[in-house]
Amino acid sequence: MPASSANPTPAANPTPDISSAPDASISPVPAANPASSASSASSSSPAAAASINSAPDASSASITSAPSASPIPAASPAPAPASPVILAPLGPATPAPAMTGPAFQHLQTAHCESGVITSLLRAEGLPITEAMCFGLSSALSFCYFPFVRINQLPLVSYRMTPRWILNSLKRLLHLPLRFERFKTPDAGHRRLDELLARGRPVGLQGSVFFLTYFPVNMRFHFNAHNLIAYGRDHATGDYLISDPVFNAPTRCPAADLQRARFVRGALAPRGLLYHIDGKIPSTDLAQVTPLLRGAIRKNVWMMLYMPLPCVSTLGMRFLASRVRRLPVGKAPGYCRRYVGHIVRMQEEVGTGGAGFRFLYAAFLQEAAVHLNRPALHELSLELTAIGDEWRHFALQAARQNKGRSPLNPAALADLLDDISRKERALYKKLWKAV
Amino acid sequence: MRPDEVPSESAPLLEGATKAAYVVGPDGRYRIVPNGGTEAEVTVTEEAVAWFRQMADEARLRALAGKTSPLEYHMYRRRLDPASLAQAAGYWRWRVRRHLRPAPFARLTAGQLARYAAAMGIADPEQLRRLDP
Repeated sequence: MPASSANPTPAANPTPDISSAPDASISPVPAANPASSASSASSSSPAAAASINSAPDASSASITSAPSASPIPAASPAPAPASPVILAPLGPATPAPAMTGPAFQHLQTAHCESGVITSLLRAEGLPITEAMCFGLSSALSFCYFPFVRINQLPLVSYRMTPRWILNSLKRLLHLPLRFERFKTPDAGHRRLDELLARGRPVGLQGSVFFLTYFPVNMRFHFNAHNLIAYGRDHATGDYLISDPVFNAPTRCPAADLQRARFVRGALAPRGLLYHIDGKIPSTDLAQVTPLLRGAIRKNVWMMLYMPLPCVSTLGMRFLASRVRRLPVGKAPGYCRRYVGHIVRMQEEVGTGGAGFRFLYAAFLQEAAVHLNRPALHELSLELTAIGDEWRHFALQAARQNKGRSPLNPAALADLLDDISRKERALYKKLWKAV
Repeated sequence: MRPDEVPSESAPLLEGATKAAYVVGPDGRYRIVPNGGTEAEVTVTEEAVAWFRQMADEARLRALAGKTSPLEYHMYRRRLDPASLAQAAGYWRWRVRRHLRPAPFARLTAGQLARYAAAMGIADPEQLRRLDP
């Protein structure tokens, strides 16, 4: 349990040689966007410093990495004390000898699945961002499945199913991404060690509940969490983990990781691991440009015309109708949990805010640059405004969940209906814009 | 969402961790900032944790009174409910519900207990018979 979160310095000390080199190679990544818009060149550098959150942690101690971009020294000391390293108890001695192959550059992202594939692709030299991975795979969605129950509450999701992003990117970018599942935990264990010994960073699926480096209040039985193992400390047997949800690399005892990978139940991972097996076809980010139109249109189609009442903007309306009918008088406790559950799925579980709407808006901004279409930038700001309405909804629902304000399902349902209408209008404009 | 709408200080709930949030900077461009937990997400997480704790506490009192089996207490303590415990342990739901009654629970074999313990991540199956807080 990461109760004793260590101070940042021992974690930063052993890796100055590691952190400085990838820092220089990573920081041009966000700067790749303004290639066409010169005006934003000055503004992109602080964004670069902020967008790679692991960099300030490491570079605050090792000043060597700072000169990679001039405004960074001003920006980097600020986030460092605010974001202490999660867990690095055995700092100085272990990571360097334990790492087999090249050092792995940790990247903190909003969502686990898009974060893992972004990190894996960057390790292969493709300077892609999380938002681009998310948008390119058309992963934005809304699902409300009243017939699937999680702790007696319906399934609400703001994105497509697990592994959608991985599979989409595999297909679109022709990635040699290989998935492996195992019949026995031992086989899964051996294969992971074998890949790590070859110096491959490996993507894993596991249950959050058994991953002991999570804060204990975040540990729920969600079996489709994604993380990266990039090495093993042979002295203690711990795996070196780069979990994209957190701001620093961490480690996980072998027994815990094994249990997390082989849990039973809904979305059971069956030891799933995936890795890029071979060379990726191209490390040029320009390859995404011809794919963007199709990706956006696919997402728009799914949000507008998917012929199912449970998904898309129709799903929001469906959920609104069910929220309106909540039996406040009969079961107030259940109703409070119900509205809180919607908010958890929207805000808490690694969505980057507003149920991935901000993440998709960030993608639209990048797409605007790639396609040279300022209209997409405008629509991105419009989606941001809708995202802010989602956050307003979340705050109202959370207060009702806590009992700070009286339960009022009708008001929440009205908000959902309103958001559904606005999103429909936005997606129609988006279809025309590409 | 603007950067100043996200607390950079980690909420006590997150034990020093920060997540990533996408915000629009003053230049109108998206960037990632550390998110220590906004009011909405902290509130709902606290409530979700508190619900399990409350269910476990109630189950414990009932188990002490002999009205339910200790399994129910451990189930909620490990943040499971009958449906998810059934999935995780690989039993049918009606069997799990049956095992939540004191008499059938007392007849569980060591192997069955071990299966429940494994699903809950409890090292010692015998712990399931006790009601350690």
